[in-house]
Amino acid sequence: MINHTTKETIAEGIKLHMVHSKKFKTILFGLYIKRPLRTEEVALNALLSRVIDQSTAHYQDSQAISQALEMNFGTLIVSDVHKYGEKQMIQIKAQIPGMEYVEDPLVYRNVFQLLNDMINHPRMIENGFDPDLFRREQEALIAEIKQRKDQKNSWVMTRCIEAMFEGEPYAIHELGTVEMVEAINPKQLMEHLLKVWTESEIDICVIGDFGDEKMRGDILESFEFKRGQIEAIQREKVMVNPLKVRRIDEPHDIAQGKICMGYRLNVPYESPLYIAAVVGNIVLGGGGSSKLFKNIREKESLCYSIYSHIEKHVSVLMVNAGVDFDKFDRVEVLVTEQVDAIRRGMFDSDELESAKKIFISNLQSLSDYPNSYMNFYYNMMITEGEVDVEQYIKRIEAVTSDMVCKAFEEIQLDSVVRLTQEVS
Amino acid sequence: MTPIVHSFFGENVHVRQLKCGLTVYLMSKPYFSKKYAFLSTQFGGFYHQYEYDGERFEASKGVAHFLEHQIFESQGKSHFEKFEALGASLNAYTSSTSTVYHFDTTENYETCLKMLVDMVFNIHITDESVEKERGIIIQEIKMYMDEPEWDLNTNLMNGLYQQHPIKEDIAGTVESVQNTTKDEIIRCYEHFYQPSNMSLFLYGDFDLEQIYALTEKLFEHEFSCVQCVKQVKPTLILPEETSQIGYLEKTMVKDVSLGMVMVGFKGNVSYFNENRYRKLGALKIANDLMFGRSSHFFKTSYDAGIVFEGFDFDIQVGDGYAMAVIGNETDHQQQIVEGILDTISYYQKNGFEEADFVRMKRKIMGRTVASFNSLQSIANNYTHLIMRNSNLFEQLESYKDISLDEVNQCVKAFYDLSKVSVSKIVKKDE
Repeated sequence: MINHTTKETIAEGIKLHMVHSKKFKTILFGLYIKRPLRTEEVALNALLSRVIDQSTAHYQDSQAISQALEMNFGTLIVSDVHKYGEKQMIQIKAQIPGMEYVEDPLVYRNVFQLLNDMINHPRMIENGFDPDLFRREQEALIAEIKQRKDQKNSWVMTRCIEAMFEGEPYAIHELGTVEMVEAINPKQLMEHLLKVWTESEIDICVIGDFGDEKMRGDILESFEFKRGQIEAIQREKVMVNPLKVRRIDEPHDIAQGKICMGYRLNVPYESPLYIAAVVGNIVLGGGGSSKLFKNIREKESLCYSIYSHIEKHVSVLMVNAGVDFDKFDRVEVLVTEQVDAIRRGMFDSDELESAKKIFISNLQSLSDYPNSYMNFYYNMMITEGEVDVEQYIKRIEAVTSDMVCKAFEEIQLDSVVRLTQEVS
Repeated sequence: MTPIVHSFFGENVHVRQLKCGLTVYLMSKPYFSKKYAFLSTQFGGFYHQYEYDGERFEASKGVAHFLEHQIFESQGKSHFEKFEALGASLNAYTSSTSTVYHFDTTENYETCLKMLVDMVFNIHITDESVEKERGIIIQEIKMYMDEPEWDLNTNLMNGLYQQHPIKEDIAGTVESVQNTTKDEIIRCYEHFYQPSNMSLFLYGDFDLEQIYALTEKLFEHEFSCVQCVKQVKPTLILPEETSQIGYLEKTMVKDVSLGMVMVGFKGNVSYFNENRYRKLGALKIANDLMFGRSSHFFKTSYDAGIVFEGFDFDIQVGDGYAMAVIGNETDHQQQIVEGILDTISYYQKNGFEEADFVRMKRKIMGRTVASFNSLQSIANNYTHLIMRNSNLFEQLESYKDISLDEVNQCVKAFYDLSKVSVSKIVKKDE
């Protein structure tokens, strides 16, 4: 249950969103810095997110920062980058125990001042970040990028996205590449920090049980906002008709084959049919009563895991499964049949109603989790603009099978990526 | 009957037993949209041998997990579909000592509860259903085998334990799943799925008395003949496990981009017979001081680029086992192993600083507050721990008055540096 939300502009291009809910014993603070997803800066943003929470002019290394956070009752700070379509967000979040529970009225302000120091007063050596700290985070990020290949279920999806969006910004992974990260130096990253802090649209979200005035005061008095020329970001291109299906087989040292089929949905989130596409996706591969689960797992016992999801910003639908190597073709045929079934309206009203219920139930329960709700809130705000859960639920209830068919009318298979067995 | 109440931090769990023998745990939590229910039986991956009504039985590896899959069999619409049609989400898991069926929902809670009870107590296991599920479970096992941590864990457990079933995967092996029969599955169902061997956990924004009355009615209907319900509980038989480890080290070469290492310490199980929660709490504080983000070990290893953010440590105590596991992704396996051993022996000798201990207690206080944010995590943890004979609230309560002396003593008493096994994954040369 969300009690109420207030939204205000506190500086040019900086909005403060205060979301009130009585059930939480912590507050979650989120700072979202919006950047365009592009080759020139993707790795700079990624590395910045790793370096920024490691020291300040006052707390000179990560051990000192960790100890300061422990003294502030185990406050957690997580700094990361995320991809929302052709946008890359630098997100810095802090989970702080509610001041009344730890009996310390200064705890929020202490943490906000620490966050401000990370951004405005970082530890500086020769106009750059501390070179030792920098090198360490650079190496760690490179290792993380290399390790993406070890998680086979997500790797197959990454490869599919790269195939579908070859040459476009969306193909870029939010961490960048090893080469991009290697090319950065400490001074350049420090300059980039100033650039993103002055030239980006910024949203600050707070969720929890707190008084507006005190929270606003704690934030405004703790953060030094600097504003310059603010960069606007374009909406992604979403309508694509693939001329033929791209196919990629990649050998790996694995016991089970992985397959990812990427479809162009061609229904932008601005379309009134978008919500029907989401419902259609749940009927197709959203859970235990979905067509993929019933027909491919339960009927044919071909796999344990099979599901589909939509990449909202670029209007793509992806199907993922883990199967035996000799069953790839069979699974592809069956998936194609099921996608076709949705397009042709071959699902009954129980399937449709069940999908709507799942969708609604997920929305209603989002407010039980501060971080999920914050991410949902932010994502809605930057796409559909308004966040009115009740209104949204009414729209889901109004989805008909005709609307789902219509939403799937333009769906086209774009790419198929398979991780096959390495022949040694 | 007066219910027993477990309380902590303003939250209460009411515990009652029904006539049929089922134990019911209820926690009312206002404002939360989702409600949760868990129906559990004391039967999990460890049960390779057990005693039932005076007789000893053997069971195939992974049979508890196979049975879990079979419970979902239905005539007509699948259980998943029936729950999802009501906006609920149904799932299950098998742990080492329990199998748990659970759902969560924002609406139709009482109907779903009826359906959950019906699903678990009215089964439809056939030759066809067993054959069909065999293929799916084999795919599940293969999926886990493709995770890079799989070999790392398996090799560590085999290094620490020689007989104890903790060595084995809960789902069994491809071979054991191939050989499991319908008769065996049904026999296990009959032995373990009796209300006296089971518990029901309900969490959410509901009226306690009303939901309890409903539960009572449901089970009276399901088990109308109380005399017919067997009050015999199966008991787990664990093989004799020596105090010695299996091997010192196992290294495996794999096609990964970064190697890994895990260090395991085999502990003395009987050490935890008394003051279990305080000892566990003290060890958790000690581990955080030795290996946490603010520790000297983490700082120096992180600065040297030999550990990364994923560095983790855990202590586990359960039926017939007690161990600490510390590990990380790294290509400097040996350096980490040495660093870990040196750190423990340093603190065993010198003890911890008062200021560090005080700071850690502030952290634990704040993290405890934060853990009560999520009903889902309370529900999951509370259920999981009760099924392991442990109590979340008592564990959290015990932190309050643990002293620095106790922490120092526990590090000396628990860590035996002669009972260490190491598992390494080394990346393949390109």
